Amino acid sequence: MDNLLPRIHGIEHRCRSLCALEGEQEVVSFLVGTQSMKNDNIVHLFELDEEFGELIDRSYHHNRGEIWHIASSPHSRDLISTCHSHVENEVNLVSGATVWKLAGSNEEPILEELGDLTAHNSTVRSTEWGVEGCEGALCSLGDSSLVKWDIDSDVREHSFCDLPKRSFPTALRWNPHSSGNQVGVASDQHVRLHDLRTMKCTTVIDGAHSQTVRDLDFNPNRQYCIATCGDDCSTRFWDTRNCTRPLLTFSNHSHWVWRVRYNLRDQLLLTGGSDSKVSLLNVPSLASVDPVDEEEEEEENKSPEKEEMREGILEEYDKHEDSVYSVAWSTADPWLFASLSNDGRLVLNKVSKEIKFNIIL
Amino acid sequence: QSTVSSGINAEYGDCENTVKLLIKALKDTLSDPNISAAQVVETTDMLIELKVPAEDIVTLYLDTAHITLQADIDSVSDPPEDQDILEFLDTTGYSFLGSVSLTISTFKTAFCDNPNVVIPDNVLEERLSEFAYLHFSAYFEHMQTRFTKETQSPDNALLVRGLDRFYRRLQPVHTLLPAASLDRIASEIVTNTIRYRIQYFSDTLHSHYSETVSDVKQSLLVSQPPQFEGQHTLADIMSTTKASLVGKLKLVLVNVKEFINTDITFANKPYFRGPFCVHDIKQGLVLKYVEHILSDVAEMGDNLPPSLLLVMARLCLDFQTNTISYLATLTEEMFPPDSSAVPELLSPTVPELAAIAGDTVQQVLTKYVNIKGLSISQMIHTSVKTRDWLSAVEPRNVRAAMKRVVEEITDLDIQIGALFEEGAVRGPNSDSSRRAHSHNGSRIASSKYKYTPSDTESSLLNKLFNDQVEIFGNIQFTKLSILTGVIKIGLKAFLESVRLRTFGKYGLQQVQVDVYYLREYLWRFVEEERLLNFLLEEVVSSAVDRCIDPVTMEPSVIMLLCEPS
Repeated sequence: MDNLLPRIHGIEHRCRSLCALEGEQEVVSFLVGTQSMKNDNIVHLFELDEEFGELIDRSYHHNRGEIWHIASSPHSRDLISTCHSHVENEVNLVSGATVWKLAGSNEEPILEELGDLTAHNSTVRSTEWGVEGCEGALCSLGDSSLVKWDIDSDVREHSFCDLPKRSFPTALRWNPHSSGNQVGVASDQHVRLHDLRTMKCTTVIDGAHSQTVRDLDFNPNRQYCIATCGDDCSTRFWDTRNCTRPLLTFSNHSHWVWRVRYNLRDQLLLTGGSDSKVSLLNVPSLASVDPVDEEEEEEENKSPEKEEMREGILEEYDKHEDSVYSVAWSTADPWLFASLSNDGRLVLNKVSKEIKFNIIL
Repeated sequence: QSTVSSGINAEYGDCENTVKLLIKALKDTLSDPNISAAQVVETTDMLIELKVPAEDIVTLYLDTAHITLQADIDSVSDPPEDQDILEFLDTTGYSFLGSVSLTISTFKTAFCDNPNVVIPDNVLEERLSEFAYLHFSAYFEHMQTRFTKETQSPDNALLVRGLDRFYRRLQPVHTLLPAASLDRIASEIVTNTIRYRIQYFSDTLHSHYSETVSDVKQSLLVSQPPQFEGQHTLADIMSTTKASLVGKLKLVLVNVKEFINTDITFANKPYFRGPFCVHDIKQGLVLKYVEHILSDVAEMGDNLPPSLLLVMARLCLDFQTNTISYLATLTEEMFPPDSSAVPELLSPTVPELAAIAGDTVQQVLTKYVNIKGLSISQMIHTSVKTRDWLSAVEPRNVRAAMKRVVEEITDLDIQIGALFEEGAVRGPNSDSSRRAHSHNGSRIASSKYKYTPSDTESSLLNKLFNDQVEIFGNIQFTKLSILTGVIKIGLKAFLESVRLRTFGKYGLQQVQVDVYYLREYLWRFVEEERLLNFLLEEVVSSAVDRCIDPVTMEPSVIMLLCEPS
């Protein structure tokens, strides 16, 4: 299968939204939302048959307009949410967000609207589904407010808080170590952590980047460690207990960095930028120690050929010709990832064997 | 009979006592440090006649001498505070040498050259050498301390003369007792002292460099509002800085040269003819200085004024092209190594340093381009982010933000142009094509953009026609290349900002006007017009994509709106 990657697929419209189908652990699946002002918009569900290399594309009609952001539930493989907009009467930009159910049949896929997520906001920038400890929870981030929702058979607002006026929020991420009680919000040049029980902001990283922060991600294995990226072309790492200065800074792109995502092996991260590159970063100095590795070290069984991979850019993938707006790791195969650029190009790729073995062994 | 023997016994006893008293008296004489050499010889001879073992006499003599010498050493270890090095050498430094010389020559006369003393020569020599070595060790330790202290003084001539006098005065003593290797130890003291001195000079150079950079930074911060009086200011600052750094080095070299003047005794040693010139001076002082400067510049970050980065980049470029080799040649002329003593080549070599200098220029210029590029990006992004593009009214003029961008780039053109050569324009852009563009309003406003067959298709077609223009690449050391780097980053930001908004008909037309204006005023700042066109066309085509009613403005109207009022 590995020699069938990288797999390049062209989608017929502009796109910037991509996520893995988080509730699917067996089959490599990704969701892509189109961004077309003139044509109908589609949520594509791509499934990759790793054995034969077949890429199945199921198209769900999205009747709420162009898609700016897409997210899927880690607990239920047919629940997704999109942030969207369309123009009414040639002068009104109507923005919103919706929870959908992937329904219908294989031949006739249908998006069933489950509920509306627009409350308190004129524009919803991002939605994120709750991780461990908070099944059925979802947060939406808009220009005015951060809202928490309960999702099961319908969509119910749980609580909300107002955000500082005139701020431009860009990204939202759930903290996996907080039992579902903390989210991180990126807005202008700052990052704020909110406690969802009170909805109040508990920590601020002031001036995390010298320009707009585009994305953040929590280290899946280590508490208090987050990564951020932004328009100052850099990727930074922080300890949220002491936010005065970053732990590390990488200038791994020559223009705005749109996405940063940790792999489950948290020394690896992917970033995508408007320089059309996808970058694989190795940050062993801030990674957690794998309990399996510790045992092996005690047995003095370390492979002699293992070279310490140096910290920094491991690989630069240049399969895109336009700005890369999104990257995502697969939830079915931890070494496989997808990247999406403005021109509708979806690339599926895998971390090389050398790197993979270097990390495992 | 018993009375006779007892009488003889008594007399013998008296004689014994007398002899003992005599020996004691003679020993007391010998224990007097102030007796003359002749007295020592006389006393020694008498003691030998009295059957005193020669070894004991030698020991007694040396023990006595030790007292004097120890006193001299003590005063050397604790000299008066206000004495300069020459006074010191003439007084406390000198008395020890005098005492020890006298001791050695007296020893030789009294024992080595004395036929009455039956100790073999080599044993005597060994005893003497051991004795001398012991005392000289302590003496030399204190002398080194004194000289090391002197290396921190600003008076170089005095230090040189001091070392010379010290070394010269030691020669006669060395001749007296070659077995003690006094010359070798004295040379070591001289060499160590000079090395510490060179380290002192090195530190001086490095702090002078830091101060100079600090001064430049201050003067650039003060005149920060870009009101540079013409093109000269940055270039002046750069050449003044360079002259100051080079000048200081020359001053230091002149000082160091005093150590190997022809009238200096130790300068004739082979060490100073070869390894000193190459190892200590050229590598350890001059090239190390260059290395220090280069690594400091490479570390310069974005917390410093960008114009400082520009100045230092130019400085490093000069270093790469001629300053480093100039300094190396100058050093070789002032400190020509003996052809017989050519030590192995050390790293870094002159070509290696020149390469490092080139890399440093690249690093610094890249940082500069990023800083300025991001600042322009911010201007553009903010202006696009906050405007209402959907219900905009018909455009009447170019947006203020665009004019600010052009002003900023024009300023940069002056600043960068003051320091770097123009650079060459690349690509099929002759003047004729430029004229053609400005007359029929360019392809940008053509009817091609009235409709888009499909979003991705038009962009792909663009790329085919433009055959993959490379947006991000290495910067050349020319004004055009640097400016192009800045402009590229800014225009890419324009593109990304446009893609985040939604446009009405007039919003799109405003973008057209802005883009036309940028093209009119930025073409002369870029290396490759094709690149500028590509980026600007991407901006417009993205706006078309994001427009609900893409009706473009007539080229003639666009031109009119962009006319300077």
